[in-house]
Amino acid sequence: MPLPAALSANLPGTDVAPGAFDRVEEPAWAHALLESLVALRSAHGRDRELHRARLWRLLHAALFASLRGQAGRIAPVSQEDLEDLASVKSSELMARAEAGVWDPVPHPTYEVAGFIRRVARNGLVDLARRRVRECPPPEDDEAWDVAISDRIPQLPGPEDWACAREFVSALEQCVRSLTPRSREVWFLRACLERSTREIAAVTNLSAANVDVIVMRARTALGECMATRGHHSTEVRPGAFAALWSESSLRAALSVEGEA
Amino acid sequence: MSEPVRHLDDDTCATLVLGLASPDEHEAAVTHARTCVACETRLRAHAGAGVRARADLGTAAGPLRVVRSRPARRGRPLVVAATAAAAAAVITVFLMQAPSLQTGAAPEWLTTPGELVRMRSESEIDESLRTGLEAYTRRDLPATITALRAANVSGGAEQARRLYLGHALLASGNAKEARGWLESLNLDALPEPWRAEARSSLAAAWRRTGRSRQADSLESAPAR
Repeated sequence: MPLPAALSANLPGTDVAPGAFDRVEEPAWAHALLESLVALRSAHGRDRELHRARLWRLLHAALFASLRGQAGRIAPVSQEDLEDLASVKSSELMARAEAGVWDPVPHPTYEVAGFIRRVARNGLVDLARRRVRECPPPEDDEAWDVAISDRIPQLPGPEDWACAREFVSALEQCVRSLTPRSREVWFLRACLERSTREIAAVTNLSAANVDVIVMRARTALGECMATRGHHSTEVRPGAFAALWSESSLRAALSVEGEA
Repeated sequence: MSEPVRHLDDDTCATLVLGLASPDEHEAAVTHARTCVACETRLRAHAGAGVRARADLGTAAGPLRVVRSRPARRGRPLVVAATAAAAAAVITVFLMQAPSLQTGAAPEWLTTPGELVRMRSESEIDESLRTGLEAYTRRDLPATITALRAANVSGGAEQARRLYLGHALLASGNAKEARGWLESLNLDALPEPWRAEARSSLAAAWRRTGRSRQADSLESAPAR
């Protein structure tokens, strides 16, 4: 199948050979991307800014998913590398979509998904090339996968799971006792390991405020957990999923209902 | 017979973080993630990236600071008045409109020469530089880039050329080349508000080319 011209036009890191698109599974973000692009075109004023923000998040999430899904096969990367690449490529695609250079709207979603994956792959290849210039590749082929897998903690045994459930249940109760703002800031730092700068940006707080809130939340949680017989507030397996499900942050990250 | 375990792949995690999954799908996925360390870790990575996207939205790396399509404003032609030979230190004195500086973000547009620009130079202003600055005032990025590339100036005027060319490239999505021009600026020699705007623009260029740590460092460093 020839490459759709509008999809390949002058995009950095997207030197895709003709016929390179295989039919790929159509993820939900691909549909949402197309809808968002259509909506953006007809929006004006404040409405347009909302649609741009929505498109940005969709592009970022789509690229991050595509980058992470392919990272282990191409280059050793960190979470920060993937986020940086997702931001860079999202910026490029945003600029080109607005300039009309990239126009995926007439194309089916599987082509859009394939294109995003190819952009991600090329970004990873470029990164790998830069890294090779900076440092030698790993001797062991399996090392390519380490960056993705090394963040997965050791799988707990059945007894550990029982302890973990008890711990998570206590932590959930203690976290509920925090104020909504403290809860969100603590969650961003402790569960998602976000920097002070990012937390300040998404919560509209100053960096100093963020650090103070995190410190106080940790102290409060430590005391609360101690009364329940736990002497740690470390985010153990299962805790993130439980807390994320209830977090107001989940709604804040959602693109639904924004525009 | 129990149902086969459905692990969360990266697309599923993106769908969950974006809020595109149905309530039932969401519930099933989170229930699974509570007992599957690998899937929970993956979901966590995506949630973290979602925060990064949201943080970048309001700062230099986000789209709100990239290219905003707005109608070009018509300005009167720049009036160039030749004055003394202080070009070495400071390039220009712009009688400016309102500075559009915002802490932590690249300016959408650099402070522009308003209706009048006075150059501190006895020599004639380079025609390409003048054309480029006029084009920038009209928000005509392609014309700005073409003209400023062609300009042949030195001293303070060269600093102005690099700054506006770098910013125009950044605004048009060419962060890589923009970074080169902005890195070549002598930030300390620029007058305010251009110094602060140049710092923000350089940080934005670094962030968009994957140098987040350098950008963070520049943005958090106190301006001298």
